[in-house]
Amino acid sequence: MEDLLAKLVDEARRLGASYSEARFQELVTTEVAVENGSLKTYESDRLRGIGVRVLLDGSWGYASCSDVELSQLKKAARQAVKIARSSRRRGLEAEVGLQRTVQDRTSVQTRIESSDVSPEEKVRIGIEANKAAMIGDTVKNATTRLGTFTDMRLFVNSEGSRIEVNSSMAGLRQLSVAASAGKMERVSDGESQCAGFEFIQDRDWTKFCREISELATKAVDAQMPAAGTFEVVADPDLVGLILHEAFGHASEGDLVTTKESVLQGKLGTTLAGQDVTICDQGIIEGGYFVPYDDEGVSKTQTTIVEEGILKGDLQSRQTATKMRAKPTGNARAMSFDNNPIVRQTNYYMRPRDYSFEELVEGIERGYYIKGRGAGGGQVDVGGGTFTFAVGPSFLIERGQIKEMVRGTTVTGMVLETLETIDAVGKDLKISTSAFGGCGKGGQMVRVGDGGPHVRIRKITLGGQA
Amino acid sequence: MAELLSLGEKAVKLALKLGATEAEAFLSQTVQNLLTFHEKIESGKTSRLTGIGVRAIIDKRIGFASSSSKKTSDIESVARMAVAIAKASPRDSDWHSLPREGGRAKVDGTFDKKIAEMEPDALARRATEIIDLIRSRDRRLAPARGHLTTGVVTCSIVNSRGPELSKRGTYASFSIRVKAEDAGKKATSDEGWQARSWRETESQKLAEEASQRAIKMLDASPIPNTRTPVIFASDLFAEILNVMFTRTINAEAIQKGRSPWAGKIGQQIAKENTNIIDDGTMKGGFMTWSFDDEGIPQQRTSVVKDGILMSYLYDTYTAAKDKVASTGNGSRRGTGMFGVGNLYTRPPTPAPSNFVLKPGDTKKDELIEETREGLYVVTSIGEWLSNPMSGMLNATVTNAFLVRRGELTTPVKGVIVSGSFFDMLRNTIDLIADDTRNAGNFYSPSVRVREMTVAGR
Repeated sequence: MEDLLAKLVDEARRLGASYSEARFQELVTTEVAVENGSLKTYESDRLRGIGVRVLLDGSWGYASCSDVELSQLKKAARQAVKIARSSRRRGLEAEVGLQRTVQDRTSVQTRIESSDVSPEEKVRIGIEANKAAMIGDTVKNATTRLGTFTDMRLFVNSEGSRIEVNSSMAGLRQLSVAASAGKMERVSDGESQCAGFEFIQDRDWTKFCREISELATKAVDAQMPAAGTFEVVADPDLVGLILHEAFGHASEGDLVTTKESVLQGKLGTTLAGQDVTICDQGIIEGGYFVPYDDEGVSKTQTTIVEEGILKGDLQSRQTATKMRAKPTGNARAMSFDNNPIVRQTNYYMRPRDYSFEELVEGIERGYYIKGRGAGGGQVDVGGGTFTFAVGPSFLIERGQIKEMVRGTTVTGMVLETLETIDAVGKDLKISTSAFGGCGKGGQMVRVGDGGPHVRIRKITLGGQA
Repeated sequence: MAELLSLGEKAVKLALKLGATEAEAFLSQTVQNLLTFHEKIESGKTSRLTGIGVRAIIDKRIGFASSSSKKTSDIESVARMAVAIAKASPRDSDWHSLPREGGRAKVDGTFDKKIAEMEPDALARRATEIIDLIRSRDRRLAPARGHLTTGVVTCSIVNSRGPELSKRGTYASFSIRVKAEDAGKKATSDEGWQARSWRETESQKLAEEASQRAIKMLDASPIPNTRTPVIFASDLFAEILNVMFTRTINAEAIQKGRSPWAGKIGQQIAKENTNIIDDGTMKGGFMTWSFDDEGIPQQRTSVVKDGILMSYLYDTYTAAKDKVASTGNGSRRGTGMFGVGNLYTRPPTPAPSNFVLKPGDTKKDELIEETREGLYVVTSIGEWLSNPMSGMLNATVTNAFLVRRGELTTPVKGVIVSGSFFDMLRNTIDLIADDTRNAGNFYSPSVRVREMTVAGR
C-alpha cells in the first residue's frame, strides 16, 4: 500500500504539484444496539479508500476514491491538480513551510482485538447491560449501544514522510427515557477509551446503565432551573465542553488567520485569571489518540493559555506558515475522503488547588452544572456567543448543594466567560467518546476534553421565568 | 446502475447460498464536489465513494454488514459477515419479511443535468463571484466562511422478496458566513440553501442578505431577562421542527416507548390552523425520491390535520408490527455511530422525507408589522440540543432584532429563547406566515409565538 501511495504522490508531482500527499484509511466499525431488552441492530462496516492532496501555485486540490486501484487513483491525482489550477486566481497563496521527514508506525496498546471477539459475546454483553437499565415502570425506554472500531491511517508525502497510525476504541452508551405524571425526560451518557475489547470486558456496565436510568427517573420529576445569569460550579465533563466550545474553536488557526475568530490579534494578552492554563495534547490518559495529525506532523502538547495569558493557537502547516508559527499537529480529517482542517485533539484545563467544597461555599445562589447527559454544544466564533446543553444539575443556595434541576441550555460570550473563571479545582478528568465527536465544515472528528471542577462567576441559563 | 445491480445480485445470491432465508443488498455511489472559501478559495475537492450494505435474515434472525468497495471479493465478505451476524443474533419475533411491495412513485425535479455535468473545477468561478459581490459592497464586510457543494447519488436495491430498483438524483448546497468589522466590533451573519437543482441567483441574493444583516449586527448585545412574543424566521423554525419531530414521529420511537406522541393519534396536539404533511413526492423536494431506501414507493402522508395527529411514519418493519402499510419512510440516512454515515452503512429505519408545516395566510412583513413588541430571531445556535421528549425548546440567539411597534429595531445576540414546544403547538403559535423555506428536508414558514422566556443579562 505504501508503494501505491508513493506512486500517487509522484504522479501528482509529475503533473505539476509543488507538494503532494496521499492518505490511505481502513476503518472497521462494529455497533450493537439493544433496545428494551432485545437486540435492535448489529452493524458491521468497513470504510476503505485513498485521498490525494496537492499544492500547486499556492492553491490546494483534493480528490478521493474508494476504489483502491492505480488507474482510478491516477485519475484522482489529475482531478486534484485540475481543481488546484481552477482556484489559482483566488488561491490561498498557501505554503507548507519546512517540515522534518518522519518514518514511524504507532498504535494504541490493546490486549484483546475487537475483531477476535465473537458477535455472540458482543450481543450478550449488550443485552445484559440493557436489561439492567430497565429498573421499573417509570423507565419507558432503555437503549444501549456497544461500539468498537479500529482506524488504520497510512500517510505518505512528497517530502519522504511515511507514517502509519493505528487507533482503536471501545465504548458503551446508555440512553434512558423516563415518564412521570405526563412528563418525559431522557438522559444519556457513555464511556469510551482508546483500547481494545478489554475495556468492555473489564467493566461493570450493568451498574453504569442502571445509574443512567436512576438519573432519568429523578430528573423527570425535577423542576427547570430559573432563567437568567448565575454563578456556577461546572464539573470536569462540562468544563471540557465549555473549553472546547467557548475557547477551543476560537483558537483554531484557520479561524484566526481568516480573522473570523474573536481571538485574532490577542496573542500575549491576558484573557483569564492566573489560575487558568489550557493545553491541547495529542496523547493523554482518558483522551483520544493523536500521535500525528493527517499532515504527518507530530502532535505533542500545545499550551494555549498559560496562567491567563494567550500563548498560542492550533495550527496546520499552512496556517502556521502564514502566521509565522510552528505547526502544532492539529490538521485533522474525518476520513480519507476529506481535507485535513485545523481541529482540536484533547483540549483541557490544568488543575490548581481548590477543593470542591471551597468552590461551592462562596455561592449565595447559583447552580452546580453537570455534564452527564449533556449532549453537546456549539459556538458562533465570529459573534463570540457559545452555547451547550447541561445534564440534570443542582441548585446551590448559601454554599450548599440543594435539589436537582432538569438539564437545560447554557450560553455565554467567549472572552467574558474565560475572564469570569475565578477558582480552579484540584481534580482532573479527561474523556472522549467512540459515539460522536466534534463537527466542523461537515467533518466529524473524535476529540477529548476535560479539566478540574471550576467556578464561573457569570453564565446564562435557559429555563423558567 | 447496471454495475451496482450486478454486484447486488452477487451479494444476495451468496447470502442465500450461505443459509439466509431472505436477503437484500443496498448499494450507493456518491460523487461529490465541495469548495470551501473565505476571502480566498481554501480548497476544492472531489470524492467518489461506492459501497454496499447487506441485510441477511435467517428464520427471523437479522444480520447487517456493509463496506465501501466494488470489488467482488469485498462484496462477498460483506454477504458472509451479514449471514454470520444473523446466526449470532437472537430471533426477532416482530420480523415479518423484507419488503414485497416494491415499486416507484412518479416524482419530478430530482435530477438536474447541470449539476450532473458540472466538472469538479467549475465551482471556483462561482465562489469568486460571491467573494467579489460581498467585498465590493462595503469595506467593513468580508466573506468569513462559505461552501458550495454538488453531488450525484445513485442507489440500487436487490431484494430476494421484491423487484430490483435503481434511482439517481442530484443535490447542491451553498452556505455563506459574512463578517462585518468596524471600530473593534465584530459580527457574523449566516445564510444558505440546500436543493436538488442548481440555484445561481439564490446564492447572490442570500450573500446580499447576510451582508446587510452583518452590518446591523455590529451593535448587537444581550437584553435583560424578559417574557415576550418571539418570531422565528422560516428556515430556523424548519430546523426546530426537525429537532422536535425527527426522533419522535417515526413509528419505531412510538413502538419503543421513546416518543411523547405515543397514544395520541386522533387527539388535538396543535391549534386548528396547524397542518403538517410528510410529502415524499413533493416536486424538487430535498428528500423526494420515487422509492424509499428499501424500495417502497414514496408517498404523501398527512401527519397533523387541522391540529389533529393523524399518522406516524412507517417503514416495512414497523408497519408490519402495527399491521398497517409502510408509508414509504424507510430511510438509511440516520446517523451512524460516528455521527455521519453513508447511505449504504445503515439498515433502514423510519424517518421523515419532506416534512412540511403548511403556510398560513399572513404575509411575512405583516407578521412583524402586527407585532407591537417582541423579538425576531433570524439565526440561532444550539437549537438542536433541545429536548424532543420533554418538549423543552432552547435556542441561543446569534442574529435577532427587537420589534417595536411593528418595526425591526435594536440588534440582539447572546440570549436564550426558551419555551415548551408542546405549548407552542397547542396554544401560543398565534400567526403562521406564507413564506416557506427549507432546512434540509424540513419546510416551514415563519411563525410568531405569543410569549416565550428570554434569558439574558
